[in-house]
Amino acid sequence: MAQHEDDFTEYARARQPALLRTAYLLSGDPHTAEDLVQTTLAKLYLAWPKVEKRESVDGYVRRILVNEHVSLWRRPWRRNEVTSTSLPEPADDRQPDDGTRAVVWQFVRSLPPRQRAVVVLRYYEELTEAETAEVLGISVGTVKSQASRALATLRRQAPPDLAPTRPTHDLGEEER
Amino acid sequence: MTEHDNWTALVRDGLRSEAYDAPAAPFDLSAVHGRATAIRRRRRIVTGFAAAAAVAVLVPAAVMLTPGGTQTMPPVAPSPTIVDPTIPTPEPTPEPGGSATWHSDLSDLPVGEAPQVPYARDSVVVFPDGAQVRPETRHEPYAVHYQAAADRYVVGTHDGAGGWYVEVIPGIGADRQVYDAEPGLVTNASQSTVAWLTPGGPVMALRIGEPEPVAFSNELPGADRRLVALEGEDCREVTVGHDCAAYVNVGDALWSSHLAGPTEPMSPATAIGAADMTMDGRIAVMRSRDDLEPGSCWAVLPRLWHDQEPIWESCDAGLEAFSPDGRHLRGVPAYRSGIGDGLVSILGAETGQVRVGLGRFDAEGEDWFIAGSVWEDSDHLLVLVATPLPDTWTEDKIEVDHRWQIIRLGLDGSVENAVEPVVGDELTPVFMLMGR
Repeated sequence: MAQHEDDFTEYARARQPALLRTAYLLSGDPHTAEDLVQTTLAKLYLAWPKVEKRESVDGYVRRILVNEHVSLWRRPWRRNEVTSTSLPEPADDRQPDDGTRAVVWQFVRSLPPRQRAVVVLRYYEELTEAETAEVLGISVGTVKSQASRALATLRRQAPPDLAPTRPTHDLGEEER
Repeated sequence: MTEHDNWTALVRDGLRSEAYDAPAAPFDLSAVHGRATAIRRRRRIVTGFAAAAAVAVLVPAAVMLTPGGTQTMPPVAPSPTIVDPTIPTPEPTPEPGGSATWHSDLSDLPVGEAPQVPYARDSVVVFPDGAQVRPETRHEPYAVHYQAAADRYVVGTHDGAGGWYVEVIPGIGADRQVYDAEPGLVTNASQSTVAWLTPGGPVMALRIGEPEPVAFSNELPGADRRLVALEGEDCREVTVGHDCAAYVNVGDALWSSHLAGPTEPMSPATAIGAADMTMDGRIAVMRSRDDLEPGSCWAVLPRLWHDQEPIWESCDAGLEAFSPDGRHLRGVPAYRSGIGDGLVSILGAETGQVRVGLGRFDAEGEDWFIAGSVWEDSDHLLVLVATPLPDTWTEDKIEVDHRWQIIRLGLDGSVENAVEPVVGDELTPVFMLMGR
């Protein structure tokens, strides 16, 4: 029992910062993110004796996190909740920000929940299309189309000076 | 590197940069323990919320009632298949032997008769004869009951700030009564009585013909409770001998509370939660629950007694509500995961065998999901289905519209739209089903 406890603590302590970041990108709100992660880790704790020996605990945790997020926004009264606008101040001391970050973040926050989850899992978590489909319980085809449409929309809406350099060709709306 | 790759990298870098500066919270093991304890206590039946919060219509008992039989069948052995939780939940498969009829493609269904029970569209109640009424509630409705014999609406509402209420609104007149409540409204099998939980207090029941609700004599423990079933036809006054009992999921336990009698927990070996009960006392109960697949195991008991042997039990489907005649049950996934349920079915109440269902089996097909379902009559389900449509860009937001359908699924295998499909956003269902 004590060993279970120690193993869980070690795992949770190591993974919590990364989970918080993903939860923040999914929810757009630091308080919601913290709540999501706490619930996720609590559920993991309850299931720990069964999952700790599995190869992909990370996948299990990610799935809990996304499901918790999904269950939040699917609640009928969710639409009455106001998302915090007190976003963290960008204190980026690592590299100069040319405005890309603000544009991308504003764009991602504008996405509906499902499409946003696809974008976060595909481009931040860098899951494969199949893994993203697994986590969200949707088809691979939908992951492809949602991700592709998101990029196409960003390309249409982004200021001209944000366009990535060295474009080689235009893949169109349904690019893969 | 293609342009696509460049844009992908731009999004990835933007998200990483944003995530890097997300506020960090210290790891707090005691908080995780506390939340785990709360979850243990709070774990309620998977379908409890859907069943309890589902809107319902109260109709004269004579219209709806045909009590089902009680003959028992050999129990079906449970099949607790353990699978890797990181693999997507497999949708339940059709019954072996192909005896069940499943429908997956819901995109081009014919439009049949209008629903034979009231439903709501944009908060307006539409009756089978075409009449339309908008109950004027103080707060936002999430569930509506209509007591036809009393011509009054019993509406579950919320204020969006944690306040939950039951509003009783006469069809004619303006004497609205508002009661503090916990989320969820349920009716008994005959739909003659609607009940709810008072915050931290006892069950309240409002019977057709009674001007005021009656409070059960004993309070229930715990803060995490969900009223799931109501039994009896005599929920009028607190007098010993009256036949009226409520069933409440409290944490990982199922409690029974009698109008004028005891309040006590069931043995966990018998049930840890419940979903619905028939006129003759059969009850659909949850026997176990796990965050890992298969998620939950369910059974139908002939009566809710301690150590009662089930008529059948299974880990293949969650259970929601008996049909009006008690012969069938509405089934849902045993493990509810992802963007929304991709399955609803009709099972034989005496066998647990699937007769017919809607199932999202095609990985490349439309990603429709089920937002609710009710019995229209003993042979048909009405199922609220949402299907995402191609997204559109508005001034400052990308909208992914959904096609909302009320689909009629018949025991005979038929499937059709009960109303013309309507396009709306994904978070605000255009329709609200009313019924059990």
